[in-house]
Amino acid sequence: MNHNDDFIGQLEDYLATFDGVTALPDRVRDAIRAELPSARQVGPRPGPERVFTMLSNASTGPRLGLAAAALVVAVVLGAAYLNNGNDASRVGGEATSTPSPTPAQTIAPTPAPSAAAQPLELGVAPPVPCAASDTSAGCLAPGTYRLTGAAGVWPAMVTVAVPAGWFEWFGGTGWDAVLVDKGRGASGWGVMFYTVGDVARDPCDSNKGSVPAAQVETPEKLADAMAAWPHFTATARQPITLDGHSGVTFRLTASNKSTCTGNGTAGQSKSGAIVDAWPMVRVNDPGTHGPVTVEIVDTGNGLLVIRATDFPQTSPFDVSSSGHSPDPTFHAGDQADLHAILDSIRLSVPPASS
Amino acid sequence: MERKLVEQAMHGDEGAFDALIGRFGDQLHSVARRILRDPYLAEDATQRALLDAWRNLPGLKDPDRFEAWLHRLLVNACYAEARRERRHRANLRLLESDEPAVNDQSSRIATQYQLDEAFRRLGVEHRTVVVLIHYLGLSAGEAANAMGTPVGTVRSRLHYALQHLREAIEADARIEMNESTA
Repeated sequence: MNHNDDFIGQLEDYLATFDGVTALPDRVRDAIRAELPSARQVGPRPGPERVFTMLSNASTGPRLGLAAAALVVAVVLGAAYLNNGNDASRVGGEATSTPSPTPAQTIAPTPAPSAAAQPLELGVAPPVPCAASDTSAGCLAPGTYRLTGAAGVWPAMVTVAVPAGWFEWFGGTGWDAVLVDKGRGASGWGVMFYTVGDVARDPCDSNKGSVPAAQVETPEKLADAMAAWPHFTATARQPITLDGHSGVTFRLTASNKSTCTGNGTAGQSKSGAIVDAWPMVRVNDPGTHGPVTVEIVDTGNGLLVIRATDFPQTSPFDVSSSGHSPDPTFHAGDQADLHAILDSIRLSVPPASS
Repeated sequence: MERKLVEQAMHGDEGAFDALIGRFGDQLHSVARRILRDPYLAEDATQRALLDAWRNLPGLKDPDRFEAWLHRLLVNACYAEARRERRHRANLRLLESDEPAVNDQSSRIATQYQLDEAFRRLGVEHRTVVVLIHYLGLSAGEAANAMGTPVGTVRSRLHYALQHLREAIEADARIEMNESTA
């Protein structure tokens, strides 16, 4: 992510001058004041320590009753937390949303046992620290999730098992990724998913236009379009099946002749999000370009692309944005995780409407 | 001073909460206007956030985190208003799309106009991350807390938003260049 200082300056100038500082109108203040007496404050809830103190001080009979009550409270609060991770007000805000220092190995993103029984969406998963020593909460708890997006965004419900120390990188509608962090900082290394719209004729030169989506509607045609990218080399493609759906896989490498100066553009998702060619490009960062594995699956309801940085060295993002020195074995220990993630991917295609 | 007001408000002191509205109300409203781009929705979101704050204040563990907590309540309220706005799009009352009130050289005004057009086309989640980081000056971690998302999601949303804004401006610049050379 290169920051163009001039552009950022223009953006911040625009945001500062837009409307100026707009005072909260008196009528809104008056409306709030009028509601305060009737808006009952919610009292503080007893914390876990208090519950357990109560339990330890009670005799056996009441203890069982209190234990059952505590279990009910825990289940209710847990469900509220999981279901309303974005709603601070319902769970007392900071009081209960502060991440525990070591939840990465203990919290499972267990979905509520509702009728739908869908795994939790990546984008609404409660954040947890990326490593035991990590003080921020930037990663996902280990478990199975589905890709972020409303119904219809993806050609199938795509689920993936995420190990500890990985985070979601949401690129836009129909473009999602799970990348490794493990306390070393955000990386551009992991597994990326996207749907298929128009495809760039040259990821490094937008002036060359794009191949319309209608011309890349099969895995073979899309693979051909990507293999034709200037200064990229593609291996011979192999047939694959994923949950009974056929597709192709191949390895794609940007050469040193690639002229990309930024992230490059692979094309668009079916929903119109611009999909970077990154991390296949930015070859100007020495020692960071590696071959990516591309899988293109025909779900019968549209194509799904799965792109994985299955190489051991630092990614372009590791070097350019997270400040790591080029290292030929930086991700060697992450490759087993990556293979496990790829093996865990499951597709659930909705039945065709009559 | 601010902590004392928060503690008093936590115990039901309406006067103290009123003082907090005076302290934070304008800022919250300015942020909501930039995220929602609609003056009426912004007022509703600010009102909703402040009333949520009042109701839930006793559950706030650390009074020093009051402002960060308010930001999170405001973002939630903006999302709720945006959802409501989508349901009632027929009654959309967008802010005027005239160029921002700057009196500078024409190219700057043109750039700001292009930014305004591109910014309006972003989704609410992407406008939110841009406003939190480039208007309020929050760090990625603070923005993640306000948005209730992992830091990685904040980074990716910011990356996506900035990329779209840049490309919109560059596309407009290319069109202008083509027109001037035609």
